[in-house]
Amino acid sequence: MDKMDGHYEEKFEFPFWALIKQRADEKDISYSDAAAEVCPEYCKTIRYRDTEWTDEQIANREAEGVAEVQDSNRKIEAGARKE
Amino acid sequence: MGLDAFAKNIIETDLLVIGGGTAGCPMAAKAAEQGIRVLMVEKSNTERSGNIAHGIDSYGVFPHGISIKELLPMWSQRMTKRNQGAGRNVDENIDYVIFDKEWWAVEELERMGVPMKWDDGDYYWTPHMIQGKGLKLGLRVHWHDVKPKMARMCAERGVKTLNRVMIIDILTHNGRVAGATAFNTRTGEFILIKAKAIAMATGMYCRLFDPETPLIWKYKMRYHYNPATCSGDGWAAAYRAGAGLAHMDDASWALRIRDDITNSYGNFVNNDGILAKQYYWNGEMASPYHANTYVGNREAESKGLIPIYQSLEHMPDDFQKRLEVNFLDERMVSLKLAAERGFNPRTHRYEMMTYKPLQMMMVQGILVDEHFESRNLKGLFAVGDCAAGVGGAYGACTSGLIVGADIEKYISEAGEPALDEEQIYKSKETAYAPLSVKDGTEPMELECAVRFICERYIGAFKSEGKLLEGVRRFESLKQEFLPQLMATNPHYQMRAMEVRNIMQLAELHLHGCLNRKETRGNYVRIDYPEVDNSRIDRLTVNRMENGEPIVEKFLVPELKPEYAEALK
Amino acid sequence: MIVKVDYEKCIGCKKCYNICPMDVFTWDGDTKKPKVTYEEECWMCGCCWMDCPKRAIDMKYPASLY
Repeated sequence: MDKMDGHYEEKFEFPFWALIKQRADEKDISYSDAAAEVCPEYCKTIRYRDTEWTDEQIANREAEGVAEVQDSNRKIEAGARKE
Repeated sequence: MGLDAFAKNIIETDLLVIGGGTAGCPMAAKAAEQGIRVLMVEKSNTERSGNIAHGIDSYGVFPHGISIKELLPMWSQRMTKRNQGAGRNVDENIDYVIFDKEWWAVEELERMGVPMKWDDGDYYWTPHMIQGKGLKLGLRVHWHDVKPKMARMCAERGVKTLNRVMIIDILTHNGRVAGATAFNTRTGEFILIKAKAIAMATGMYCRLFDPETPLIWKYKMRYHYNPATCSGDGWAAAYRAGAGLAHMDDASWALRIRDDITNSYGNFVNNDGILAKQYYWNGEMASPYHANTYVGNREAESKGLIPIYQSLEHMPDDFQKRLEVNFLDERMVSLKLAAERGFNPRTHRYEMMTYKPLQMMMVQGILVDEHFESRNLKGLFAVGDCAAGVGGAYGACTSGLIVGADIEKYISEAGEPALDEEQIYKSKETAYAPLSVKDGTEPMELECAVRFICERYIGAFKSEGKLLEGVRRFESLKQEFLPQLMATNPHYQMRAMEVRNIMQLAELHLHGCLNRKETRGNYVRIDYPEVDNSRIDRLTVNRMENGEPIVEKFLVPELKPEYAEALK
Repeated sequence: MIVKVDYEKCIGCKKCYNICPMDVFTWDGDTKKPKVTYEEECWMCGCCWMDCPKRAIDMKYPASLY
């Protein structure tokens, strides 16, 4: 299916939200209180403190982005059009 | 006639804090620690009020150890660039004071129970560049429940808080503040307050324009960078009392996103440094800053490339998780709403619309000196977004804490306030008049008419004819409909008083734009594309003098010698 | 309706009524439960939704945001 056609109405669930909701239901507490508990646990699975890796990801995406725009501009000049 | 002829509820305090938000709560708490009487009046409830009612993901501060020598010139250059070389942000002395005290502010907040560190016990800085120097700024914070914590820190320190109370007017005596009139937005009870000092902390002002999210036919309060409760009440009351308002000719404008990404309503998050990408309808990439492609570019459209979309699909999984945490910290309900809407950041492309005018922020507001006292009205202080040149993430808590720490000296020297009965009478009459009007104009009807004028005849890109037509229509609204403003209960009385303030400030903006014939920074007059040199280093200031509105050009002060010395 | 109270779950603690920034709720003295009275003023901040101790509030996007 075309990229721009299929993505609009597909409902999904954020993994983080699933965990918060589960905790809230388990303990019968507000979503705010459940989130306060679950957040530190979830943050442990994220590489926040790996600054070298983080900076590398940022730099990579930036470089990719520049190349992609240049490539796209060429295609547009050549008359690329959605079928 | 004694005061009790006007009100049964008369409260005396040393410091009156108007607005219990990001700046107001820290100020009230700090001031109470100095042993003075503090009364905080909040239109909503301090537990969930103001710009960070539902949370925020970052706190603006520069890393500890960065010297003010480095910071201030960098900041000034950034602001000067924004103003195209003409004038600084507002006042470098204010910037100096805030930067100088900002780490003290971080530590004060922590001491009072506000979490500044990351969940693992250390500070966490968002990857962000400033001036290309790679200087990281902005603390990531988990603040989805910060407002209840701030409300608690005030209660613990004996701050007297009145929630669901809206200030009507500031009362003055011999060029100083003396108190305020107010009413309960649920019961309608009229309240008189005597105060030796007043601190305005009512935030920014957005309701002169439509909200950024699309199709607001029914839901007209869905604002973005600042909440609808920030209707400029503090600015308008200060103006009526004689305080100067700066930069009322300036307003922000920004890109409007069709799809509510639900992280602060269409604000596209720079998630830990990885910028969003832009795509044309045909799936080809667009360059990020090609503004013309967003605003009716015929060429792009002739190739079938419109609309244009933003996307975060390229973010690695780890960064997608960071986005989830970002959602929690800033607006938790996003996690539920985005999913039900199908806005999966891993696959969704968010449609961009056009540029539109936004709120008044950061450079606009009550003109204060580096002690955050109004330059025109003694005893009136203003902090956070409410004060010109103070706000944004860099100034709210810090300015609030500074005033809270220093106000005791002012209080001890201020005399007993004397309330003026004529002022009280006029204020009460104005506030309660809408309740007597039958078959009048509903507040939202009038407000939408004002918003339409501001959107269409002022807008982001201005010109003479449009502005004059706007003035014509605005005058009609003032003459025909403002006197007929109607309220059927105290809730709508609150909305009516908000409209009164919104209109007063919108009028200043309208005339300000008419008089400002230049293009500079983000202020655009299509018919005057050059910089007006007579405005360099000057702010427009509006204030009332002897009941008459005057407009001045205020020369931005130089950096004080002792501050300049510290930079050497 | 973009904000709804599930009265089966609601215990009448007044949290939503107390904290709503736009004051969209009124309190029904007879049922001792909150009522969404000023629904068009709701800005979907989610404060009521996240603070409700019984998770009794639901929020949904209206058609205009589709």
